[in-house]
Amino acid sequence: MTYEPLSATSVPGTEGQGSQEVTARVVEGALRAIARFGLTKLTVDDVAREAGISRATLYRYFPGRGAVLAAVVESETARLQRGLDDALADTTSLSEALAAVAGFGAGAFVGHEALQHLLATEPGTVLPHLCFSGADTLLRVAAERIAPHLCRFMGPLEARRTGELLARIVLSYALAPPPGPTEAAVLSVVREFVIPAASERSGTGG
Amino acid sequence: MESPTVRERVLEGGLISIGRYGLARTTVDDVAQASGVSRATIYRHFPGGREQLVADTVAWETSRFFQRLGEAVAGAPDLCVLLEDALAFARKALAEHAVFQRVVQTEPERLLPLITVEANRILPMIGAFLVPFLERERIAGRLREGADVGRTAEFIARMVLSCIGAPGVYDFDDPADIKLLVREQLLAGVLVQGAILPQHP
Repeated sequence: MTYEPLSATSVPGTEGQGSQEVTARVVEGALRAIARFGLTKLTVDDVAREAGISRATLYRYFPGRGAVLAAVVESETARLQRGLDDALADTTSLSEALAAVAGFGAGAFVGHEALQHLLATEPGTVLPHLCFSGADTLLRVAAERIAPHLCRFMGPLEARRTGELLARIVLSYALAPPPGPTEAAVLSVVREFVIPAASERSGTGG
Repeated sequence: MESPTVRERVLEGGLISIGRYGLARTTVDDVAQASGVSRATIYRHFPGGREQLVADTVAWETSRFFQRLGEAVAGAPDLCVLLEDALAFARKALAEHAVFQRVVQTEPERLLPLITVEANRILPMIGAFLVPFLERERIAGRLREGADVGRTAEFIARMVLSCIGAPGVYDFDDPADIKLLVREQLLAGVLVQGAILPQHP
């Protein structure tokens, strides 16, 4: 969890690797800082401290707080996509793929410390992205990302709708958690109410 | 509840005030003026003052919304039609709810935490509403084998609440799209196939 301070050579001019390294550190530092201090009172200084780099170095790559948060969103989006791809890589049947999507989605939500901290302490900062029009956008994006993985087993329209249903289930349990573990509840609902019908429709059996 | 009518008058005044001034700027004085109930009486019913008044108004209006929804669809002949009617009605009612539309657009950061708390209370309400419909489906032999009515009711309640808030990839102004969502996704794992598409046995 601790990092050596960046060497003085990692500055602009040495583009590429140095820049990538700073960005990665800043993103990780920002996520840790959000999980500790929340978003409303988060400062660039907090991020620099958590990232183990100087304020000056951070400002050389990021003009301000907004740029840091934009980098966090971009990085987290890419990380989720990789996680989804990895979770589905070894699945060979529709039922495995559906369970993998649900398990990954629930785990990504529940295990996200920064997000969970915000939901608990500053829900107003994140709920606009998870409810009503924010949920519409989230569900569409999730459906588009999940669908290509399900197209191995079903038509593209069906894959998009099924992907959306899985995202809907994950979001529902993430925002209104069940009494027990969220991941287990999501998986059991998907096994009970999604997998059998989807398997019948795609003609792949149980 | 010693005098529910006073409480309801205050909450009605709360709703009017929130529609006018928003969640952050509504004061007890605004509500007193809008409801015609004195400040002292309001504080007696809402000892938490402004914050309690705002939160209770959101809770009260949320309950009323779902009561109206329940009354509008209670006569549905089966579970499929029930959900189709409910989604169409709720979407329209939400679009026409002027106070909700104003506040969700201008103060989502204040409204959504209150509504999310309400979801935990509303979900069991929707579930309880669904149980008799599920029992009827079971008696008619249309429920999938081994389905547990309580678990099924909770699943459908969650999906209904989710769909009312966010239609996602579906167009709720198009009855055919709602039908597709209800019969091919939401209830496909709940009912036997013959019950979903009776015209194609």
